[in-house]
Amino acid sequence: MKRRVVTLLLVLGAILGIAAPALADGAQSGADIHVAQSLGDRDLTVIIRRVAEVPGPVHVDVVTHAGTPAGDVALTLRAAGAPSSTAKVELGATPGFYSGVLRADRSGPWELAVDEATIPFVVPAIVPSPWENATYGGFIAAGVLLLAALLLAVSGRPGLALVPTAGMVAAVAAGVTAALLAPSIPPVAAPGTQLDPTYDNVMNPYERTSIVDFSRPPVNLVPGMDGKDLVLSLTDGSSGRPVDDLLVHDSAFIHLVVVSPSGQLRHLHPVRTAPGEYRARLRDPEQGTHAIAAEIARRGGGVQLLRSSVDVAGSATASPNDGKTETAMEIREAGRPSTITAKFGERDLQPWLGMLGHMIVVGPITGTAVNAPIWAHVHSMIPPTPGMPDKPDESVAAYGPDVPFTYSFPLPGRYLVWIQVERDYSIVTVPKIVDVPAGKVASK
Amino acid sequence: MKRSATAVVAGVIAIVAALVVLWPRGVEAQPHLAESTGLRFELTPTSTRSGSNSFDLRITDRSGNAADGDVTVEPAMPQMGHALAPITAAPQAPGQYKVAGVDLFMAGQWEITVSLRGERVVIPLLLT
Repeated sequence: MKRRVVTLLLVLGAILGIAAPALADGAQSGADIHVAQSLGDRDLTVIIRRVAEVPGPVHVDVVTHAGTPAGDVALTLRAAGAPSSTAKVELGATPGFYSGVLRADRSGPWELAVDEATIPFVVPAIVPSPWENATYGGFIAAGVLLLAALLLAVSGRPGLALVPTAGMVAAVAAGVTAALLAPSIPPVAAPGTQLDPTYDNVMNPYERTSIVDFSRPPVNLVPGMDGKDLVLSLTDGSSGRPVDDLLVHDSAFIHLVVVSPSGQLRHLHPVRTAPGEYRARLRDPEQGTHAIAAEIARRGGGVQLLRSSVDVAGSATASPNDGKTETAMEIREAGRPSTITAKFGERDLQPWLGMLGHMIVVGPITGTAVNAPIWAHVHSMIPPTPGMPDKPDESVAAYGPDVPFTYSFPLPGRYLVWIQVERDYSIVTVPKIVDVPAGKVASK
Repeated sequence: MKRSATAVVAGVIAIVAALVVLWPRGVEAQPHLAESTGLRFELTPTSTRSGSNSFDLRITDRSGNAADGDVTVEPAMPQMGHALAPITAAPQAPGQYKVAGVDLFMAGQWEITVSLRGERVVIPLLLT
């Protein structure tokens, strides 16, 4: 009799032991945040690694590129404006990864300052979801009830044992139902990408809201020059208030493309210096009116392209885009997909902004780039390779050599095209000119 | 004896019922239909999963006669803003074409544009 009870206890203990540790599994795991930053004279990529636990370390990698001046940058982590930890990262003369470690003491919205640039981000809380709780709770309750039923049965009261047995069946049913339905439960709106992150909604991410449409109004862009810096002021198109809810998309807050009067391209990533204020330095600028286009994504979804122009006081000579490569072009008439394949010879290209290559298309050119009707940004994506990470960072120099782009030029005419890839921590910009023939059928 | 037989029958019924309800059902690749002014396109993907795929195309005119000509297939993924290079379909039989080795590398919403003699249709394809 005694032995039987001991055996039963051991078996049940084993069952409960299997079920219990799974409770520690978190619901969400954040990902690394990659943000390209044109900070003063430096072109940096700041990588905020996934924060595994709070309180705990926040690992930050600062990636420098060819031509980045050596020196110190100060990293500061702030929550609600109050600095919590600082670190100094010494950038060396060779391009590559430089690391700093900061400390976050809680989950919630945070801000990383890299010198004067600020990067808002969210440290997610590890909260088990309600359906996980139901699953584990159901199975644990079933185990406890089974134990009770067995104890009643061995103590000679089989009639009374029926009550916990019925309870056990109900608990197992609840657990199994929750486990089976969990994959089909729609995800909740994520704080930081859809909702404004607050301490409360980060700590309680499973609270549902009644909001169904998260999209926000368009943005007005006003560019201006402040010394050598191009300053962008972003205001809400409906309220006029500063826009301070930009998402990191394709590894940057703003993808700013600047085309000089002589047709030289810069692809910059302005840093956030104040709410709604972003700035990027134009090194050795050319005199004249520059065409600018900014790609942004607001919280709630959707990417917007904002075009404008800015007058720059600079020198008469331009520093040209001097990248060279062989390209195979198959240009079809306007409206049909054309393919342009840049051949870079060796398989050593690095992902830049999460992509294998970028192609900027401006045209058809009749005067300057400022009044070109078409402005496009085409990507060459990194094909998923077995054995390679899903989102490789710049340290993986194993892509290429061919970089294909497919784009349907909407109008016939002459286009300015620039192909950009990264090799040896240096951005290669290859300028091309593409003539697109008119379609055989007259356009409507 | 009778009692145990009933129990066995009940158990078998319960197991069969559970299997019928819980048996995993794959979404079978269905033909996608689209019509333009003069043509009728029918596209059947080999799979509805991301990865290498191939399409069977059946193109007829509105009265059901097989159409001929150069058929071009342009896969694109609007959500990612990404287009693949256009592919010319290989004719198999009158009105039957096949496009093999299309690398739809990402799960999500794709758009397959099929064109023949200036007529084009866009067929949405959801890959899991």
